[in-house]
Amino acid sequence: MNRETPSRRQRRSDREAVVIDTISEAMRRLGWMVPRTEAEVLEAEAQLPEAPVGLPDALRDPEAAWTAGDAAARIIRLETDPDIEATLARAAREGRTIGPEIERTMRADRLAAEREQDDGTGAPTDTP
Amino acid sequence: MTTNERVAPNQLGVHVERAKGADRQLAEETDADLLVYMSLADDEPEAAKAAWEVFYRRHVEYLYAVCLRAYGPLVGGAPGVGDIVADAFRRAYQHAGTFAVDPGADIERSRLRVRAWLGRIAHRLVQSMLRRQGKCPSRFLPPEMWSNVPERQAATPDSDAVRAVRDAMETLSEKEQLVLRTTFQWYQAGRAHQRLPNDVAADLAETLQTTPENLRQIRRRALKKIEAILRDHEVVRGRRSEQR
Repeated sequence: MNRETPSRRQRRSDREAVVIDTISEAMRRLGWMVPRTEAEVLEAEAQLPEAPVGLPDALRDPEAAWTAGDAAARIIRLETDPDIEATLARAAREGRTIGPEIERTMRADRLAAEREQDDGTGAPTDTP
Repeated sequence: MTTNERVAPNQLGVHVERAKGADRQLAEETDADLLVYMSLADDEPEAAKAAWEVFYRRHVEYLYAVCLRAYGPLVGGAPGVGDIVADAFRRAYQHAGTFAVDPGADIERSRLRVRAWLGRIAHRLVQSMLRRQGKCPSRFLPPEMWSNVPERQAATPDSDAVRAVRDAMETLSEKEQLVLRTTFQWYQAGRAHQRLPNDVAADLAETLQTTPENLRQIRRRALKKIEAILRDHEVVRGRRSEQR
């Protein structure tokens, strides 16, 4: 059995560290990490569009924000479809790749089919 | 709120005008002073609340915009981000006394410091949300909520590395993107080893409906894919080993 030598492990670790640092910095510059230092805030302010994003109704009134429930009480569980995941895994085993766009279409089609089955209309339903 | 039913109609207008005057005065206060007002909530609750409302209006659009961009895909879009922002401002009120006021800071610097502080509060809230799903009532979000997240405001990439990472992320599956964007909320700059603590990995695995080992494998696989693309773009080399 091939064992990773310490020096090889160190080189792999160094390589991974460089990649992680690069990704983190890129995520910050892309706005995928919330600014947490003064410099980052300054940079983010420069990137934000001149026209405001538009606050949702729940945030327009300070009183509503004041009395809103605890954010932690609305934990989101991000579900994935096991059938779709199995298809993706099978494709990977067979050496095929399914691009993100196709994956999104698969999920959207599955969701539309489930809605039709649930209420027969295919119309969007409220998020639970 | 004042009990208006006890106030005679001709006096109500006076109260409203006084309130408007107080708001105008507070609107001219610095963030540092508003936080001082908030920290005196025990003694002056009405003034503290009024100061908080001014503080809120001043920063809510900024915080919402940056949180939507950073956390939208992780917390279910605008509704989840709205919860985080509201909670962040309430926590700012509760912990106003802990904000380290810099007496030498001008208004501009003070604004940056306050917004950085709000960002750190929001960041901790998101970390808590991502970890605590097993301990709080949860709701399922179908994948359509992911696709309904508003497009990120186009931040102009300013380097090859940023462009390469963005392009590389788009080649990943949704799960891989989600795992990376989630686990990177625990990234600590300058730290040699970025391994997720076991308890964090366990909680995140539950949130993402997988096992800790699978979570690490997905992350490792995603990082390898990105590394390969970054190397193709000649963005990364063995920088750290070169420094040794």
